[in-house]
Amino acid sequence: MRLVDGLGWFALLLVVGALALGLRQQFVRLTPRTMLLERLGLASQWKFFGQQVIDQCDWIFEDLHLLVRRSGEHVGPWQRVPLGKPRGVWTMLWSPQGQLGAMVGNAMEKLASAEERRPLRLAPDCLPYLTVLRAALDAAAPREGEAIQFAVASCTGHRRPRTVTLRFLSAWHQP
Amino acid sequence: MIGGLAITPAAMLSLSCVLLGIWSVFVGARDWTGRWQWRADGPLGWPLRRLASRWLRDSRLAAWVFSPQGIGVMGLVRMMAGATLIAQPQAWALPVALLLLIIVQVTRSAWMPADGGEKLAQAVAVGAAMLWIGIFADSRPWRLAGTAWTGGQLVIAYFGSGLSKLLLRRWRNGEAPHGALSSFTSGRALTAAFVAHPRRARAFGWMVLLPELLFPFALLLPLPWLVAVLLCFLGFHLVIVWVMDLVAYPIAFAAAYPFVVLASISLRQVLGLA
Repeated sequence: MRLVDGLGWFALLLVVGALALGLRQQFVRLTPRTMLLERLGLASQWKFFGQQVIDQCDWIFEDLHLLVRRSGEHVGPWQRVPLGKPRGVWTMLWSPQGQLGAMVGNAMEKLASAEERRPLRLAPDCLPYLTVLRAALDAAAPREGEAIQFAVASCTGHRRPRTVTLRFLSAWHQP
Repeated sequence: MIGGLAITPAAMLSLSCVLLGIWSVFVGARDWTGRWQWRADGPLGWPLRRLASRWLRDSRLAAWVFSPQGIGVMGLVRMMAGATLIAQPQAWALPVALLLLIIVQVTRSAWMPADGGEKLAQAVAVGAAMLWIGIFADSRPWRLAGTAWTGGQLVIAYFGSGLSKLLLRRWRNGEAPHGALSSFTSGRALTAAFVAHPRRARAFGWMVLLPELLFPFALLLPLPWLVAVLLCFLGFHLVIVWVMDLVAYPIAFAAAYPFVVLASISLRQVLGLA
């Protein structure tokens, strides 16, 4: 047998093993170890809108919005922070800022979920909190002496009646 | 022959690499254009992101890689590798381009979760590299390894997503498609109107999860039928582009389809169905 063929059979064996691992990955809960396989691309979990959280969370398909307000002498009105351009034909094909919207959206989802599970227990130095706070500061940078507060609200989208629910309210922050 | 295209490993590799190249140029250009999102004082900046990683927290290399410069360079590499895969100027250029794509993808995945399109594109790149060795060295086991890897990943991807939906009560009763297609983020007014009726939403849910779940059996079908099934799945992905703006997905998935064709031919030969 040629060396290259021997290596090929070995590679085929590894491929079969990795595929078996990949099949198993569909049935397991992701842990740091299984996440490592996922990140290396060896055994990925494929869901495509089939995440477990769908059965556990009532608002999972609602749109999350980031709201910001500032306070100086008076508390200002809530302002919605756009996390990307409004959807249109062009954004369907080309939206390079999508990563920002996706990651901040993900952080907002984590904040809202954590608040639902254990209200008022979220540490303001956790990554999702800091991510959303940073996005809020970017959108509405407070002037000197002012403080900023952000909120995450969910909306039922195209569904009628359209309802808006407060999911998370931050503390006041001064940069 | 299908549509004037010979179904040989070399032809399938070439077709897959062209599609992977198009995907790569597209996402590379997107990375390059959107590299400002990784500025140090932004929500995606390394000073914040480093908190998520125990190992990379103090790495200066990681700090550069996940800065606008690093992301921009990775975008450029993706574009150049993609252009090489489309043009296929020399036999040796193909594995170099594939290797570059794999390195970029693994580097990115070390810090940020890859989306489905990126994961599948990586599987295509790895499978294509193995198939290239098989063709270049005339080695059947390498050709089988490459075919099995990418073809197997696509089969697991569809089957896994069908299975995960089947296990969810809200997919079985139609609440999940109703919710997803009614939101502003992942739906449109037209799709919201379509799934407004619970019976239609439930039927749509099953129309999505059943074909995904049964996709592995498509490998046993005669070639023209398999191609028809793959075209239906591609059509579904294109509808998703319109509904959810996931434009890069169908290209990455289409790049894996030639491997499914090769896997099906091999499987049918083994089972004596050819």
